[in-house]
Amino acid sequence: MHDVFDFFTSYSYLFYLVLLNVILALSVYITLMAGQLSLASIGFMAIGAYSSALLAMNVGLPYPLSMICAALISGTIAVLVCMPVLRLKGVYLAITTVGFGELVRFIALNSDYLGGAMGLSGIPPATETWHLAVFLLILIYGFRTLQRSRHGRALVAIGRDEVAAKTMGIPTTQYKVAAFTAGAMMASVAGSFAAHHTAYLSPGEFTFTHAVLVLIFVVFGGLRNYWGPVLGAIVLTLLPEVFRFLHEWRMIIYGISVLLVVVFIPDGLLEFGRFFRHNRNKAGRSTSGPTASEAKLG
Amino acid sequence: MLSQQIVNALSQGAFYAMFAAGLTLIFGVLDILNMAHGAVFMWGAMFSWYLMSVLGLGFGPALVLTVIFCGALGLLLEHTAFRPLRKRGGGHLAPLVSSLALSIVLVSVAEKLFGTRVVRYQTDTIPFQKSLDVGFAQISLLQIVLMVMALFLTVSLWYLISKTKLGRSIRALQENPKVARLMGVNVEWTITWMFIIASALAGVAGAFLGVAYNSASPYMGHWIDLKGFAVIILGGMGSIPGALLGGLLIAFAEIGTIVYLSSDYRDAAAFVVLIGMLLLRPSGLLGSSKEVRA
Amino acid sequence: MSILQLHGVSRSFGGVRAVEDASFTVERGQLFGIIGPNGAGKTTLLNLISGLINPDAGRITLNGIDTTKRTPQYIARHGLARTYQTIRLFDTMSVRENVMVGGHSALSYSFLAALSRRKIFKQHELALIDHVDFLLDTVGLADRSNDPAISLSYGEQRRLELARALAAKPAILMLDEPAAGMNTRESENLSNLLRRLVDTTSLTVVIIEHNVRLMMELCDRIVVMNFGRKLKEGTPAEVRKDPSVIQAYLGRAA
Repeated sequence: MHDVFDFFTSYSYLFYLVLLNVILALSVYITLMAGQLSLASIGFMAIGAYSSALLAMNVGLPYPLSMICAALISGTIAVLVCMPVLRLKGVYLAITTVGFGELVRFIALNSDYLGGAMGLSGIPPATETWHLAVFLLILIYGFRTLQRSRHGRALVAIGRDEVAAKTMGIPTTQYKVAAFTAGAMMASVAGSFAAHHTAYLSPGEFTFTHAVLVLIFVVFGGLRNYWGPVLGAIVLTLLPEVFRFLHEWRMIIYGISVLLVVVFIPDGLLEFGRFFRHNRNKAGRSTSGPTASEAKLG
Repeated sequence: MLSQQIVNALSQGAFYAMFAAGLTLIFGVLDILNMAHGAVFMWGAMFSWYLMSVLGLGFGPALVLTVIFCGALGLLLEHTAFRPLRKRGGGHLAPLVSSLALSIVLVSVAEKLFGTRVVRYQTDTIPFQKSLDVGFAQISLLQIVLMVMALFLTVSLWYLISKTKLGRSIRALQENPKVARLMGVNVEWTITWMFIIASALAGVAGAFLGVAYNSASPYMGHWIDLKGFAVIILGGMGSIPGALLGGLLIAFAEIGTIVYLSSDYRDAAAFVVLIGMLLLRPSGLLGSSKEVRA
Repeated sequence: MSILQLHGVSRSFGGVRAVEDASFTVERGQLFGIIGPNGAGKTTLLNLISGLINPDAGRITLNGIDTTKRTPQYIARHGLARTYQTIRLFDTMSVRENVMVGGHSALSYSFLAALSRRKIFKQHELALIDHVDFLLDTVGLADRSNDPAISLSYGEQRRLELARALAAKPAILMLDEPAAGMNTRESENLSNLLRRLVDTTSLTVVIIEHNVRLMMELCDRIVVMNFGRKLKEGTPAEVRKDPSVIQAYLGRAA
């Protein structure tokens, strides 16, 4: 028992990191379900992190409340950003979201109020790892519900063929905005967790590279259903740790592993297991999305 | 002073243009964003630095070898990250991620070989250091060579696409891949050459940037990837002249920002332009939705 | 009251008059056909009616509502379902899932209701699954319910599209070349099915088809189009005898 406890405390940070990355991966996944490639999650993560930190520090809001407010702020920004941006297709949308993320980082870097390049410290530490676990369970429940309801089906339909979806009466714009905003709020909560966990924030944590790594979690794990991003985030967060003894070779192995999976198992790691079992689809209860090699981005 | 800044902007724009030309070529024809382009650029800088500073080669030979090396990287890139996915279907997401993965590998290998710090050239190895006073500005010989090189390469690329057999193949491929194949275009060979050329261009840009700024590091690629996106969106995806124009305009926007606002805001300039362009006219200045214009 | 009315509908694409001054009326419960040579503007007409494009002139009335400038989603929610000439199935989903998407607007529970597992969610989902199974059985795809849509043969995919369109419980169903690629037996089955649907339910069906003989046998009323204009409207018998129609289209076929 003592050993188990030791195991958890020494690996507690890793466990926390895994949970954080799973939440981020899911935030990207929900927009991908609707066929939108959004790399804005990191930007919203930053917004959530800084907002919650500042609300707690300067306004004195208690921890869960500051997070909720930060999520609402992110949600509002998401809705505002959405309108002009969702007209864009595929790569154009992706690049715009990258631009958004960079702008957020840029603002954080150049604003003294936000701590500038030196970052923001003194954030009241309040997050326990189990908070993330609880949030994640709620998210998973939400995704499970989504996949078994007409809303999940609608999202996937929009992602595959938006025109056909429209002629079935699906309000495509509303769904795309909802998916984008939901993703933004999830990322925001993740950011708030991070802020209150490490008690320090710097713009260098929210770069394009990070955004890209989260996307890799999702595609690596598979897009067919929400367990793909979960698996991808878990495996790819643990991989560098497992290979820590390889020092500089770690990231080379990381890159090669991702490359191999994407090229040889393009459906994602999750599907690799399915390959050996017949895919039982219980009475159409859970909708499958496209795989990475099928995913069109507008 | 202003004229000096104009000169600086022109030479800065030259880098961006060379880098973006290859990026826009691949996107315009194959509809995929090559996320490893920045890593190849970085290798252009690192490799030529190595040849010059460690092996003692002159700039000329180093440049030639860098072109070959980066072209080879392009070949590798195409064969490992893109070709296998093409066979599986036309999704856009998978090639994006596979090129990202390869980019990680390329950067990590550079880190391993050259360390994580910025490397510098020894002053006497830097070519074209002479500066000319042209009255309204000081232009270094390097800047002149760079601008001439960028112009020359862009025009050559234009010539390649509009007048040669490879160029015709590229245009046919962009119009309609299936029909192109039926008409006898060797699609695989054409795509491979596109990657080789684009990567070689990126390598040249990298080599020049390394000597111009007297620094190179494994992380240069990220920085220029983002600029590259802004340039190709501004110029129009698939348009080579657009890459040149876009590169110059972004450089001007950046210099303008430094002069009139603050040098802190320099990197934001590209993004403001990018977002503005995407909202107002996503097809860019010289692009139409899908066309490799020569 | 008629279910669908077109008044002077016109649409051009860059100078080419795809549809010009089209006017006709479809009554409830009819099996209505639109025929005409290639390029006659039939699919454009369908796209105009279903809202994918807007007319340059004219008016379209669906179920008494002016739908001329409405979005496809709006029109679909007001009782119109359609299929496509090039099959547009959701190829990553199973057969059953495809049809379930079709039933989207027939359901009405919110995401919140689904999250809290309200009765309305469960009831609607179960009802949908029953309805979907019934439809799949009707079109003869019941044994393929769990298969990926992409694994179906061309004819089977067409039937799937039909089932999916019917899942919305539409008032009017518009089919764009539903028999394309079907052999004689399959098209006969299709005709019988459509006839049965129209006769036993309040469904109105509008079909665009090339198979003139099929249309003559099947439809209550036919509109013939050529070069974007309506050439003739009437019963199959009337249309068959009309000289301008014979000249333009039927020629050797009838």
